[in-house]
Amino acid sequence: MFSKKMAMVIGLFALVTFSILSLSLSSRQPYPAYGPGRVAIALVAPFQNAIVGTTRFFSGIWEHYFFLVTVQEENERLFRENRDLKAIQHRYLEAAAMNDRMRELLGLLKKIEQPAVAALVVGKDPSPWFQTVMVDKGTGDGIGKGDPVINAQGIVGIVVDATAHYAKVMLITDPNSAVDAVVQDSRARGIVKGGAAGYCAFNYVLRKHQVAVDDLVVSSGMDMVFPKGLPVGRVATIVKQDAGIFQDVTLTPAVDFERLEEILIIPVPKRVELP
Amino acid sequence: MTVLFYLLVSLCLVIIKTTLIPGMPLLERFYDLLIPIVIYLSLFRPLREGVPLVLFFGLMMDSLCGGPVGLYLTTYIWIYAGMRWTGQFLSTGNMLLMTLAVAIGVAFECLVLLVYMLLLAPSAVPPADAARTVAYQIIWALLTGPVILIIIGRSQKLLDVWKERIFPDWLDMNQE
Repeated sequence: MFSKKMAMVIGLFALVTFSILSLSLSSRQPYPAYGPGRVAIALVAPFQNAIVGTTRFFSGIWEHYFFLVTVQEENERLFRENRDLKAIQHRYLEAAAMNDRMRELLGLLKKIEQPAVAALVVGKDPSPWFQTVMVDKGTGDGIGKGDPVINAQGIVGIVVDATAHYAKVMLITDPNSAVDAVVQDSRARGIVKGGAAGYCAFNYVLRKHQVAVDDLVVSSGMDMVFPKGLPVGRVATIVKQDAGIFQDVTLTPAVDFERLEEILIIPVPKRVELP
Repeated sequence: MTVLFYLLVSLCLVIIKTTLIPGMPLLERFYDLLIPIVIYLSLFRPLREGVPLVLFFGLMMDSLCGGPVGLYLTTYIWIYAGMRWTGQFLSTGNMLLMTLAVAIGVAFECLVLLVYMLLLAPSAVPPADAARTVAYQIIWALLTGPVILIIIGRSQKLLDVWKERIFPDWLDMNQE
């Protein structure tokens, strides 16, 4: 009835018409609530989800590993930075503390109105029986045997030996040490001698003189070594025996010898021997 | 080489004793660390090594300490001579006896220092806590003396091995 050519034209026309009609109809409701699309989604999506999830999981591990490596590196860098900053802070605090102590020494220097040499303690006595310290100034700095040594807290001791760059200072707590001193208030006089660790004996104080616990004992200047009026210590204990003309007095030294770091040495003008 | 080794060791010990140990709690009354070396030298080393070293130790301590010159020198010479003489009769390999030797050496040094303060020093008086200091020193000596002696002994053996490697001819000549 129809030729083959005619059939092809009619088929083509029908297909174009169907396409136009279906597209125009579907454009009115682009996402139908049912249909084969939903089936496809239901079938494909779980696999997509699984594959993408797995990829993300491994990708996450990989990235996390690199992230951890980076974090570790950063952690190490921060740790080093923290350590350096702590060291700087420590140096700063040390410098600030030393500055305070130096200010105190400077104040003392102005008060005593005598030339003095500041020195640092570099070592202590190797024997617990003697109380000496080694300082980093010697005869080259103008100091010598017999020079008095003080700090902002009070009397430290006396130079007993000196080389060109170092000197040995006998502390007032040494058994061989003796300082002529008076109680600041009552002017009771005696000799401060080294005794037990951390204490000094205040000998030859007459019983008739009034001495009370916590009284300040200062140098009398009578020994011609230490300047007058420098703190030696505070009265710790007083024992008045039934007999005897003296009372037993012990002192807590004004200077904290456990933490002694900076000191002032007062060079004594050397006597010139007459010909 | 042996003398040089002991000189360096003694200097190190004295520096540690005067700088680090005073700041450590419980160790402020630690005993004289040169005593174990003096005892070791007296018991195990020949006179030509021991005598100059003991003299050096004594002079070094005398110049660093607040005591009079000769105090430590005398003490070390007496300890050296006494231990050398005692070593002829006793077994020097016994660790218990060695420990006792260090403790006796420390006690002897304390005795000499106390006698000096009591009788010889013009104005010194022994510290009020002298008995406690002596007790602490002897206890420390009993506890650490053997360790120090073992360390010195091992170091000496190592030193002998190195010496043999470095100067084999010199050692052979010496032995001949």
